[in-house]
Amino acid sequence: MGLRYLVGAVVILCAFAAISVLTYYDSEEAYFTVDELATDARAAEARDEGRTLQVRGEVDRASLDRSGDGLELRFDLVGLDGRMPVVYRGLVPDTFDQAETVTVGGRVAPEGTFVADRLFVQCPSKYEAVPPGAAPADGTDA
Amino acid sequence: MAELGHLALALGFGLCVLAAGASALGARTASGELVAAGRRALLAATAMATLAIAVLVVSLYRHDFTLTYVWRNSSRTTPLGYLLTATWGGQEGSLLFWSWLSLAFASTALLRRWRADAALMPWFTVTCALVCGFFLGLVAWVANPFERLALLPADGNGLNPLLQHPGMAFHPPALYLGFTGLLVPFALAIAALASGRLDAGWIRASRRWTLVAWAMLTIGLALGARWAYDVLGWGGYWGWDPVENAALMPWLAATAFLHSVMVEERRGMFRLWNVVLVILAFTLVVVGTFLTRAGLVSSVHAFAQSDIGPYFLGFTTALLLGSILLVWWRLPLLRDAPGGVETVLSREAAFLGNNVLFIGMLFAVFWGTLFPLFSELATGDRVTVGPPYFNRLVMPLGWALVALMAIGPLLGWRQTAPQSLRQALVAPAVSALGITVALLLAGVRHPVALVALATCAFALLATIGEIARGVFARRRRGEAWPLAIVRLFARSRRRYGGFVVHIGVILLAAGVVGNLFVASIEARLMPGEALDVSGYRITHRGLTMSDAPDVRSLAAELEVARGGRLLGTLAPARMVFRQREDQPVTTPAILRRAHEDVYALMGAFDVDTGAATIKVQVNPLVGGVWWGMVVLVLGTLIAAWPDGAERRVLDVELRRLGGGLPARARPR
Repeated sequence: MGLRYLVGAVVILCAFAAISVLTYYDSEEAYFTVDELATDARAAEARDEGRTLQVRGEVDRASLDRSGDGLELRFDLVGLDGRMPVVYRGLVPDTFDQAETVTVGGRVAPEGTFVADRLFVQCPSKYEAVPPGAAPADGTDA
Repeated sequence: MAELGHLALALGFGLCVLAAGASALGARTASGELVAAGRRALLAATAMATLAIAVLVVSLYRHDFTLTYVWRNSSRTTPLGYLLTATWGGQEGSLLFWSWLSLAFASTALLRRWRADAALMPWFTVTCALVCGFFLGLVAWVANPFERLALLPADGNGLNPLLQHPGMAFHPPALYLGFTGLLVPFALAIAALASGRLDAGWIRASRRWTLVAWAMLTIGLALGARWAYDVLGWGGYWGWDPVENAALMPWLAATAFLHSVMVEERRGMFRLWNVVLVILAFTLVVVGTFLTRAGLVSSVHAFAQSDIGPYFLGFTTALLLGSILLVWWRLPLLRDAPGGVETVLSREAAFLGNNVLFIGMLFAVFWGTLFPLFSELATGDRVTVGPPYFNRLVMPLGWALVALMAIGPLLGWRQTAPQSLRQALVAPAVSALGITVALLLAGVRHPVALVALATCAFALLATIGEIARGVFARRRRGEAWPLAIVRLFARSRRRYGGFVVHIGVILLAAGVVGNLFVASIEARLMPGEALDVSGYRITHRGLTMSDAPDVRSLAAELEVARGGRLLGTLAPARMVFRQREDQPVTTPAILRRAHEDVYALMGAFDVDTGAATIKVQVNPLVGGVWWGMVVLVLGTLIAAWPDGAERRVLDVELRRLGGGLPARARPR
């Protein structure tokens, strides 16, 4: 007797699950390293379609440019052999100065600069301090 | 002394293994002695864990920097209170804390329910011993807080400055209490499955544990949100961060469970579902803690990379497989009582709807948090989803839940007379409509916001109406006002405590709607310059510096004015803690007004000119979020308070439902 309501509940849940999965594919943001951005086919696709994506790389401290109104930060993101200029507008996380690897979120402008509106600092493991007398921890990224 | 700590851990692990073995054997051979031995072993393991954690705490207070953990997470200048919080500030310590809490809860439950639920206790002991043994073993050999350094440093590394905040002192313990507390309902369910005692006895035994664990989870989540807002400085309180989600998922399952057990208690339905739900909740706890620690996701919470990943994976798999097999085996015993959901206008249907909504939310959050990991493992492609995904899916379900809160409590078991429902809801509906009109007149045009706030008003008034009806009923019998209110809550704590919890959730929902109207602006200001946002004028007066023994700070003095009237000053600052000179912390400054917050953050600054880059954000209705959380927790306190009369009524009901006699009265 109550079966019809249970079936109804299951059907509604399945429908919602399907909606979730579809929304997921609609909202997902691909995530590349600087090197992959140059070579990966999906990256090229995302770039051409102007979709937002996230790129991870190391900050070239020499290229850091904080001029302007203090709201804009320019730097180069480097990989093993790739290099990508980034322009970021927004507040900079505290840990940026110590971070080696950062992730930026945004779009690739036509001329090749990455226009970022999000800046994430990663590798909290790097903040596990090294005790005196011990060898530095092997800082591999997640 | 550290050796003592490590020894205690090893012994504790051994005792857990012993407890599991003895209890299991005792259960199978019906040997009271073996079962009693298993119980003693688990209690002894708890004593060992207590010793281990005591050693860690003492080492922290004695500044024993020969221990890597103490060196890494404290220093000579760490304030005394935070030395205690350093116990759980790092990976190893937090795992030890977790193990200790699990054992403490298991032992408490064991002692309290030994006689009342005698049939369940052997397998309860086995389950607890296996779970706690895993964690203890992990701490003893893989994530050892008692590891020694080669030489003795003069001073420690210091506690992460982000953790030196009162909210951070209580956020992890509250969450851990919630997580580990869910071990008891889980273990009781496993015990019920293993022993075949699948009447509602295990539910009755676990009810208060589930409620208290759920309350602690809620408090933990609330504190985390408050800390994120007050300290992290991005202007929000929930970021759909993978680790936030890792704590939210068990909470969603536990909330669904809290509701659906009421249907089993009252009408013997949803029995299979309840067992599945509690297993799901605890599995999510383990998955959540795995996610947070194994370096799979990077977030503000992530602990250091460590080797515990594979062990966790193995344990979670074993847990899930074992539970599923047990359920499968006992399927015939998990038949529902005759009857079923008879009509849509019934409390059972409302609870069914409630569960559908919570599981829907759980799926959405689960998918968004974990699918990226799975897909990366499978295809190598890395993807991520952000707040837009989560908000798009979760908000509508949240709205539906608020709407359900208005109607559900008014429905009767089995069926409801439509007229009585209509009568109860007319006034709230009309008032909600009136409030909508008022909002429109006040200039609110956002359709989603109007619908959401109208629903909140509707649900709020319907709930208050129910409480009022109860009070009036008592008044008619001649009771004075204050007495009527107090007695109403005291006599029916679960029902009316639940109403208060719902009111809290409604307030929270209204606060969340405020996110639709957030306004923010960023500018670089010289001293004397101002910026305007949402009717406020923020004037920068200059930079000020301050020097305390353990922290130096630089702040921007901001004056907040509205309509020419000075409302207050804000001083968003950049702090540098001694010992962590390389990790400056930017803290926001918040002006909390009744209906909105003015939130300021300082980015770049120039000490020579006094210029500062300021970001100001106006957060409407955010007070609703905090007050909602407070009311929520208050309601839980009311609901959870031991209530003799209610328990007696419930026991009679359970007996009638085919639970037969309570376990203690059954012949062995």
